[in-house]
Amino acid sequence: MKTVFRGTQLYDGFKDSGVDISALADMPWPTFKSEEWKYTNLTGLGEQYFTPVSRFEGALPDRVKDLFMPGAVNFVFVNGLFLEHLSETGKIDPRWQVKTGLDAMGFAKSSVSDLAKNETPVFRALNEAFVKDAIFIGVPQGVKGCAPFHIIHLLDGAVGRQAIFPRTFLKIGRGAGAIFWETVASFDEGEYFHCPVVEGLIEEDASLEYIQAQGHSAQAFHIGSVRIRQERNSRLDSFVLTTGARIFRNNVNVVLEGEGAEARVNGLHALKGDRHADSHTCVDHAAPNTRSDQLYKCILQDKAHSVFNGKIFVRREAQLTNSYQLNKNLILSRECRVDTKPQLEINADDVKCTHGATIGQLNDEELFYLQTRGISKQEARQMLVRGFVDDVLNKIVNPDLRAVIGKMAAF
Amino acid sequence: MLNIKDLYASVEGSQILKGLNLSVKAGEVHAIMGPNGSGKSTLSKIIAGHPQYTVDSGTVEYEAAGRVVNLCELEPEARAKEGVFLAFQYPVEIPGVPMSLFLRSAYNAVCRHHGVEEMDPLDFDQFLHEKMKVLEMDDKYIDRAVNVDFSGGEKKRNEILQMAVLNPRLAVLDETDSGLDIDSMKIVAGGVNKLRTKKNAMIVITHYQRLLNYIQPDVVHVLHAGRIIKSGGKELALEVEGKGYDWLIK
Ligand SMILES: Nc1ncnc2c1ncn2[C@@H]1O[C@H](COP(=O)(O)OP(=O)(O)OP(=O)(O)O)[C@@H](O)[C@H]1O
Ligand SMILES: [Mg+2]
Repeated sequence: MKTVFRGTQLYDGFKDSGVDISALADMPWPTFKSEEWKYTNLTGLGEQYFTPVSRFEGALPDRVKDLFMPGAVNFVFVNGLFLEHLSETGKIDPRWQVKTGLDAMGFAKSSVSDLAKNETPVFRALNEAFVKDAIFIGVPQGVKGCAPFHIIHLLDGAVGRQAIFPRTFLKIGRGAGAIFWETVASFDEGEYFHCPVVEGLIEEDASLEYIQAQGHSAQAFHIGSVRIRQERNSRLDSFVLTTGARIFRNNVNVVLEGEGAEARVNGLHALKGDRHADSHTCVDHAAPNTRSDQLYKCILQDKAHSVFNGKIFVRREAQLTNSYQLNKNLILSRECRVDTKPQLEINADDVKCTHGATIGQLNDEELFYLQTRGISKQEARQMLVRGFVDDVLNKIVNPDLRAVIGKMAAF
Repeated sequence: MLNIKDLYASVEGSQILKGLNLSVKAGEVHAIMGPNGSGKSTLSKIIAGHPQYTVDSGTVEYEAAGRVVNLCELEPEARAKEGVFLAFQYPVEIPGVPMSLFLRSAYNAVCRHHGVEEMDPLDFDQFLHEKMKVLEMDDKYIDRAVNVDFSGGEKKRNEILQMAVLNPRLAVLDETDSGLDIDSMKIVAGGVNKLRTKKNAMIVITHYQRLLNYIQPDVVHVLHAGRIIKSGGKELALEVEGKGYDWLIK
């Protein structure tokens, strides 16, 4: 099986880590021949040399404080490692269970991990082998209305070619409700490989608003997964904003396992320059009367490349499923590229399932109308771009978070 | 204020305006009537600067701040800042752009151009509220997206609201009365009349003499096949209403 190593110099940097990577080396490295990786080329990543992060040594930029959200409980991780002295541990609601480090690692393989079967094995294995720090947050039965929990993941490329494997586990107990927000930020144009896994269990009648704001360096590689398992009558409102990276791939994997569960899976790609972003969503309707709504919007400028692949499975027992998916792309230059693909597999007969995708430019009549009111062409373009994302931003339930995301997505 | 000389203009390769002359002075209201497809909206788009419409020959002179400019050389937003306003026959829907932001941005863009201080959002809300009251528009519209889910008549009313906010020197109203019920038309005409002064001018495009009972024109023109074929006083509108255009076209 030596051939597998070809094109994956990536593993060279992992050899001295003391972790047995022989199993990894046997796993195929994805190529464009695989349907899952048709539009996202991983050759570049396979040829990189990264070393798994072991400890954080650099000085922390003061700017990390700017990322704090007033009114939230802010936690800071740098290159995947928890920084306790910067985190607001004192603000946590005493009823919540929050664990980091070894205490949280026990959840590295949970019942939700099964969802990874829809993902490319090698990245799941990498995260499981090299995860160095983790966070577990448990919201007990019936507890709701607490402040949003905000995890800031600072990626410091200046430390030099690090591979970072964070892991977050969320458990929302019966009838509980919570807001989680993860900000990924990089203050420089460093090169790093970020391969996080987020797993969440939403128990019966519970609700979770889960938001990711992914602001990477243009040189970064990001391959991340969000896996959510939903029990009866639970509700998920998820939103992923990304400004892209050299290679950005995010899998959002949701299984609606209990009757009456509802998932809203939304996202926004705001891409400039050479940046790339690939969102693969997968919603598995495994019980009757479940509902999913997906809206992904993408704005592309310069030579940006956006990929959206939305899978919907409706299992035979999932009668009365409602499933809706829409991907809308706004292209602002001739050189950008969009690949969008719905993938539906429907095995029940009494279901409502719609999907659609559009690619369009700014509307000249709208531009002209604004200009005739004295608004400059440039300002008019900005207003229309902002107008394009208005509906998807409005899917963010919490108004404070909506405002922050709106600013980050500004073009 | 406005002096159009021997204007030839095309859209998508076909010539629509063929030697049009029109002169409008400050304080005047001119009505333009004419059959469908005669070029009325084309003229309005040319004045506003729509990029799809090209001037083949002739000039559109406009007097602004004591000097005469050729409007065709200005970007649409520059024309607006100099006081040119077009109330669209078919107002454009702009999803996701709230009315409040749109109107305030427009107002402040014009302020900046004239070196006047911008209005802050709270003051602007009050200012806007007053203008909306005149047009009997409910405040709920300011949170909506521009023209989205507005009825036909509400869109027309919204055009006049924008006119009231921007207080233009030269306003072209393209069939603002079409689609308005009689009460709405009275309200809209009332709003327009409030904006009428000795210093500004209006061109009112309409198919119906009725509107001209409320907005009294100084001159009435008949546009046909890209040219003004007849001009006269208010009575011309009545005549057209009674007899149609055939007698003028021959
Ligand atoms: N964007 C365009 N592309 C192609 N042809 C156009 C365009 N705009 C206008 N025309 C044509 O130009 C001619 C004049 O149209 P215009 O809209 O100016 O007429 P109008 O006098 O305003 O008519 P109405 O009374 O129906 O509003 C018509 O034949 C129309 O089809
Ligand atoms: Mg017309």
